[in-house]
Amino acid sequence: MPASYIFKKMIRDEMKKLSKPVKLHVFIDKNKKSQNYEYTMSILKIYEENSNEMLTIVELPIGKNPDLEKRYNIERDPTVLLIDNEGNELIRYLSAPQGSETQPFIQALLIFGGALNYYEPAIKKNLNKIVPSTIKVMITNSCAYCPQMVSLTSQFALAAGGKIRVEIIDIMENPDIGKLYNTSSVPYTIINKKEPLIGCYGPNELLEELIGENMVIL
Amino acid sequence: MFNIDMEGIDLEKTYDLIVLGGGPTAIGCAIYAARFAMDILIVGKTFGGLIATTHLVENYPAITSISGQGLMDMFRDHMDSLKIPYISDEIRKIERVEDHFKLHSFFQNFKTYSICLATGSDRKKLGIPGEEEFAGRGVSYCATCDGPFYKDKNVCVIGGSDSAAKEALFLAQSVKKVYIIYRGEEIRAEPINKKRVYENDKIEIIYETQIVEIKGEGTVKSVVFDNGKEFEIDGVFIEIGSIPNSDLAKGIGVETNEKGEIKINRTSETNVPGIFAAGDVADAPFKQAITGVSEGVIAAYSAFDYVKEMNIEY
Repeated sequence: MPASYIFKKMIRDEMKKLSKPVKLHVFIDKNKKSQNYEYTMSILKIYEENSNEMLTIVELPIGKNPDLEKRYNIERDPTVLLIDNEGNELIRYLSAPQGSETQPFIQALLIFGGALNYYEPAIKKNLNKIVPSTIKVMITNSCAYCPQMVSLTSQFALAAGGKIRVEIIDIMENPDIGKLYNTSSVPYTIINKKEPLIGCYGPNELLEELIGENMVIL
Repeated sequence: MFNIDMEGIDLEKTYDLIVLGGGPTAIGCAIYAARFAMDILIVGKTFGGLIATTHLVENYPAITSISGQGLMDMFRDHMDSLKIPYISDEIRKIERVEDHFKLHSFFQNFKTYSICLATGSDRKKLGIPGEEEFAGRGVSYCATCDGPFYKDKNVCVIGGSDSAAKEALFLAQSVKKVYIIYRGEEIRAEPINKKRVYENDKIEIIYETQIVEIKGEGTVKSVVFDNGKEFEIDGVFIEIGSIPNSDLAKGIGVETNEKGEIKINRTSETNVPGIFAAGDVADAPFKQAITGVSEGVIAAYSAFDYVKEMNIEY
């Protein structure tokens, strides 16, 4: 069974569970009319079309919304943002989620739309110990453990009420970022410019990295 | 891969069986337990286990050839068809409370009448200078994850097992040259893979040699052999075996052998009633995905029997 079939089926079966409206802000250079634009929007439209009109893709041509672009520091084309009601950026994708990244993306949308977040009680209990944090997760599409890191960090961001933001960076699509960090192993995760975490980490380890010792355990 | 949502997961109830682990052994156990109509949950740190990073699996009976990830996709599909819930978490402590067990993680607590430990193993490290320093910057434990970064470069694979041979064969598809560095006189791969390695012009084996240091600047540039020779290389892939994840089991009095493997009998029972074990964490002499799954299935049957004896109503 081709992999693309599995993910299309997943999108069809799971996106209809979205029970509350969710907006996805997509900053993209429409003027380029490049394959990048067509490809990115065609993937995102698949999610939108299967969401019972609960997901709205807000297309924001780069250069047309200078205030927003400045506020969210838009430097890449495309940049896909999940923003909460207070305007906090929670999750940033530097390419349209596809392949094995489909599942954590849908999961993030469902949780953003009100589905239960397993990690939320513990995150909220330790929120006062978490400094405003940026987690960069560098992935490739062929990496077996990358979806799990994306899932965990995304759920942490969704539970933290704006205190944690996550950047998901496919470094095959953005090789300059991989070179900047000398990345040759994925998943490659950087929390607040600290030493990178190489490979797959469990939720305990991630939470410990965020707050160090004196963690409140449920 | 893992649950997209928490639908059907009740964190307050006492489960019949909680399976700890995320690989084929854990899922095989859960599939049979689900078919026995047991109330089950899988709690695993890493979905897919070690096999998810295997480039090619050609010895899982009935499947001629498949990627490790492809195999785990099939396990996931089967799991999903039975609506078996999976939670990505790590249990840090198990305690016995009257007729059941309480499992503690940082995020939640769980209750269950029986447990199957399918916690697998972690990759062994060399423990040499430079290994940690260059982790992710030239040192890797996963060819399928990181192989694409070494296109047209020279890499080495440390180890002589079948896994090491398969890693070398995978890397040879895209790198310039692969050196297998092995301390023995002959690699221990399956004959079919040994032959493929010997016939591959891009693979060269350096026998009776160990690496004592990894050197570089920003990224790996060379390794130092035990004969003192410095050897230029762009990437080091370490495949020297694994260590069973049995610390959790030891904490509740489960017996292990001198290698840290959990001792089980032919019905996958441990010395602690209600706790079963299977797969790479257990003490089988020959460990493969199929043997782990088999032990997991037997563990499910044993757990079913055990819980039935407790007269738990279904």
